[in-house]
Amino acid sequence: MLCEDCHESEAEVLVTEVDSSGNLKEKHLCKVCASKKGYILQKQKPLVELFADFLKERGETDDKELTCSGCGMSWAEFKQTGRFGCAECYLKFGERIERLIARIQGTTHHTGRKAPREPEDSPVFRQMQMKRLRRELAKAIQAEEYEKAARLRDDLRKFEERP
Amino acid sequence: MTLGSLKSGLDSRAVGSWLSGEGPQGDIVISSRIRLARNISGIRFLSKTSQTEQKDIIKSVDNSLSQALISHGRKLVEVEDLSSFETQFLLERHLLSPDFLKSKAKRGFFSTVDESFSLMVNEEDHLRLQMLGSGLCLDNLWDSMKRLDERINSVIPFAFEDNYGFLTACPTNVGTGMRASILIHLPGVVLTKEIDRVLRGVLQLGLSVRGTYGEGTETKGHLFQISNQRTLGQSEEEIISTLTKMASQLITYENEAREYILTKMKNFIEDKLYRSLGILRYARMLTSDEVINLLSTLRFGIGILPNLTAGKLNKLMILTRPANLQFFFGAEFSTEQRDRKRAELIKRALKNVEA
Repeated sequence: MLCEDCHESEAEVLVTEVDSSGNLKEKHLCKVCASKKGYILQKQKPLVELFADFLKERGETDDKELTCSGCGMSWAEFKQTGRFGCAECYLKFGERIERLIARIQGTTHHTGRKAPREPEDSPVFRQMQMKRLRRELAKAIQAEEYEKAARLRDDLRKFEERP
Repeated sequence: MTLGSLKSGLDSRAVGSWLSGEGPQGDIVISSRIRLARNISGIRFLSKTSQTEQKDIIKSVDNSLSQALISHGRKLVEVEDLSSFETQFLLERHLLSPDFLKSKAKRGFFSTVDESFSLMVNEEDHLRLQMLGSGLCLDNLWDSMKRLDERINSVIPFAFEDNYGFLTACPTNVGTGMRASILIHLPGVVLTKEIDRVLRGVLQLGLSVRGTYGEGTETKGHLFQISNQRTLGQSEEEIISTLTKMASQLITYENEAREYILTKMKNFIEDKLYRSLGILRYARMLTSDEVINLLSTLRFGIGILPNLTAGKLNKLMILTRPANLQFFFGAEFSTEQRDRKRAELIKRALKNVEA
């Protein structure tokens, strides 16, 4: 696509302009025209765009094998949807997530407020967990996945034994 | 056909307190908003949950709201129990997101009657908490939001990790999970053709500019929504302080531009103002889009025209939207009837605004 200002060079920058009635309009410009208008100063791309760029990139070859054990989401699946399947994905996908987050957020470390409470104290939470574990346990038994069932039963017991 | 009452428990004849126009700098900054994205610890994110689990999540959130003494006996409503009219009504009031309406998941919704606090269950994250306030009031909103967030969190634990902070389905929200924004009216900056330069300054600070109804929507009526982009690496207070400073600067620019316009372009602006008032007071049919632009121009007349307040204009801005208009009159209208009723409502509201 050619630059919408000079119509000569290849457009490389997408800028948002505002016309006199306050409407936003997107324009594709070449680097020269964009810097003439002062857009190049804006070194960082908007975060959503950075994320979209990342998702478009071709994945590594082992993408299909890398899977989160918490929810079964594969790295390839994540790159399709851009949404994680569970909290564990953040840890299971390890370095890839770190690189992704560094790229879009500019940092990987949270400095804001911390969650005030530990999960185990809450009855609502315990009920929810127990319900989920019972359901998964029934499923595992039905599928004859006994190892998984044993693990789930242990987890369930931990919740049941708590006073 | 008559429309029944609102299942969400809101008042179709009144608007939320965030539209009172009485907050700090309320003539230029319409409203402030803070949204937090939260997920329940130990439960998979939405895309990996079954409908049964989604229902459980709604029930747990409902329980936690009553335990945290937030809902005062009112129930969370399930979105599938709401008519498409009502969901549209809530969207127009900025209480639901467009994505939330399109979703196929089991969803829950709650709002206080004054709309200052609302939440969506099973949007992209298990919980999306929202607070809205009048004028430039992000500091106060954050104080209240923090307390509500803590109270809910004392009943349901949130997915949190020391390094990444609050964990969200999309990595663009991770960390604070916070999006803070202001809705600001900048007709002076637009008219003096300074808006391009001004908005570029906003973008350079890492903030983003959007239309009135959020992501991907166009700007209408010289209204701009300015929010933080990044959610990680800055504390909530830092994010709010950056936005508040930017807003104060924009207010200064806008006031300077208005002063210039009122001295150097007095005839032009007066004519524009009175023409808008004339159309709004005497037209018999008005479309929704036309009204947005006319109200925007009329807003310029706050402090010039007697009996014209920011609150009155904010209220009209919402009540003249299609679904809100129909609930206001309690009946379903054709497009033509709607344009007629809209004109009727505005005429009544502006009766004592004399030229």
